[in-house]
Amino acid sequence: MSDGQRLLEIKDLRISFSVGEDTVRAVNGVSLTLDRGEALGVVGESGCGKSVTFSSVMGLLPSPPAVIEGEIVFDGRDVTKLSDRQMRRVRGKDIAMIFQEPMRSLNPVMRIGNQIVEALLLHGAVSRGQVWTRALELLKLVEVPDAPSRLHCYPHQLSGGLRQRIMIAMALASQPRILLADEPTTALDVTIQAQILELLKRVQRETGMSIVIITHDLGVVADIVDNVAVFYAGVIVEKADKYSLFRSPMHPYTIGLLNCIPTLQTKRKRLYVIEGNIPDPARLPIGCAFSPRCAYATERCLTEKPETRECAPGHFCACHLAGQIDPLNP
Amino acid sequence: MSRLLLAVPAMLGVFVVVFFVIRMLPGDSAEAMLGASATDAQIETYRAAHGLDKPAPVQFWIALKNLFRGDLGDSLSHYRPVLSVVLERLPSTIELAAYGIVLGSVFAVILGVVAASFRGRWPDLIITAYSTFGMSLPTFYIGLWILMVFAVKLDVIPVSASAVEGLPRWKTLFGPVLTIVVGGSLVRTTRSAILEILEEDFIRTARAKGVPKALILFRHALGNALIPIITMVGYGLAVSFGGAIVLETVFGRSGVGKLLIDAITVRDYPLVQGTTFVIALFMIVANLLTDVAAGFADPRIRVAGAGEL
Repeated sequence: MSDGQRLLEIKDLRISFSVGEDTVRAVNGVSLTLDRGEALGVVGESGCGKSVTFSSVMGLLPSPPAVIEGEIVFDGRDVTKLSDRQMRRVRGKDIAMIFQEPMRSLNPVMRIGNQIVEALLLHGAVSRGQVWTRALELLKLVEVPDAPSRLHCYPHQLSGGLRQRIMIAMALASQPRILLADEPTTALDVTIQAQILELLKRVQRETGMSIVIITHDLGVVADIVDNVAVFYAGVIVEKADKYSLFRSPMHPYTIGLLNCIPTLQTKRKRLYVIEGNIPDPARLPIGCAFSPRCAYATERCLTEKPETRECAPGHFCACHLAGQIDPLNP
Repeated sequence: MSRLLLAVPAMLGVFVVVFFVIRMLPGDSAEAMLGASATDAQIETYRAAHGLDKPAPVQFWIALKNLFRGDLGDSLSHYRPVLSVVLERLPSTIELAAYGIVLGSVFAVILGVVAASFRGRWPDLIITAYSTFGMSLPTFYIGLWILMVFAVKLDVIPVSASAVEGLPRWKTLFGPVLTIVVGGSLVRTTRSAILEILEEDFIRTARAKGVPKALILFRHALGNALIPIITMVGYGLAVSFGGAIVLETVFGRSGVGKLLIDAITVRDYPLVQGTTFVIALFMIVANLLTDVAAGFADPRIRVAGAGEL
């Protein structure tokens, strides 16, 4: 796609934290682009750097202790270089974020309406006279039933699903160009999960904004994203449009993740597991970070970090053996 | 409502304990009032006249019956009903407690928020050091230092407020209120409450919305920190009546606290009884007010009774 379409570009992002003597390398050279209107799924296990990457896009990482290197170019500006004040104008206005725990992500002593109105007034999205009308519109947009009375509710009076809808309404208050959703459905019931994802998809279609859904569950996002980036130990090991990623995964880790989704056709008696744990981010392997868990690992994998290559058009993979592994018979 | 009912046995308990404890003190009213030169006959006459010759349980029974009729007895040293003596002194103590609590709380909350927002840096260190210092010094010691500086060295307030007629109000309040402000523990409560709340997810949400730092602190964090703060303020209000004993003595204010000390000195049993009764009543009222205020600060408490919407 052309550069005119490009909204966000992350270039070789590295984020580390000093914890006592150790340096914890949470993100180790992530490069990523997001186009206007794109829906990107970001998948990986807990601690793989996916949330840290996008928190830094929002400027939400406390620095220090976080050390951020690389560039995060949003709309032609490197947001890592913005002052606190400038960043605040981007946060919530151009880039909005919703979080995993809707139960704890709303201020318990403020009425729902006031929290939405606060978001509306901060960025001057509407005039003072219009805020309550607009707040009501937002609640209707996110399909909150009985919206007028909900404005006067406190968060504890609402269910988790409703609270996440409120979070989305708040995020949409200033018509952001990117919505970052960090595990937006993880804490919710399965039926509610589907509703929230459906809502995100519809809102994205209607507003034309870009959306990033961060999740550990490939199955959750398959339906609503265009592209998927797979994170492992602070790097993107594979990125492609969802069809080629699901049909022909190249990285052994992605293959493993896909095999973890149980299907009725699966003849195996036991659920598939990827043996081992993600490496300690304070002590990363010299070679490929996945090599200690990888069934195909060679001598080269243990000593040499794989470069990200475009193995098929639009299909990127960071594995020495990309294209040589049969995903159907791992 | 149940809290109100619990107040009744609490008040009775105070009444019983005080009644017997003051009678365990060496010496009695007759000796204290008549002086060392009184004859045995004079003392006997005095005791009989004030019902002090009867056994303690009988005296207690009489006092209890009077209490339920709203009669706290007559003061032995003031020669009039205890109630009127206490009520006369009460406004002075309430005034002191009110100014002390309001100014002390506002000052402490601001310092606590500032300390929390500069966590670990020099403003925090200075504020924390100051509040630890203030908390660890006894009230009377802080009071004496304030007298030293403001009354003796700077001469802006009198050494004893009641000794000078027609003083402007602020001059009588300045010393004791400053003592309450310096000695308060609310700075630390506020600081730690704010620090804890700043770790909460909804603070991250507020930051993600682009809320400026000052608003995050005072609207989102302080709004939630009010619950522990109010509990502490309520506690402060309750103990301020006890604290008045020391403060009024140090600064020479004629309030309920000073009244109690004087009454104990002269073994004015009914007055001691009446004063402690009123102080206990205020502590209970302060606790009730705290519960009500906490309900206003926390919708989860307030609305819980009204049912879910």
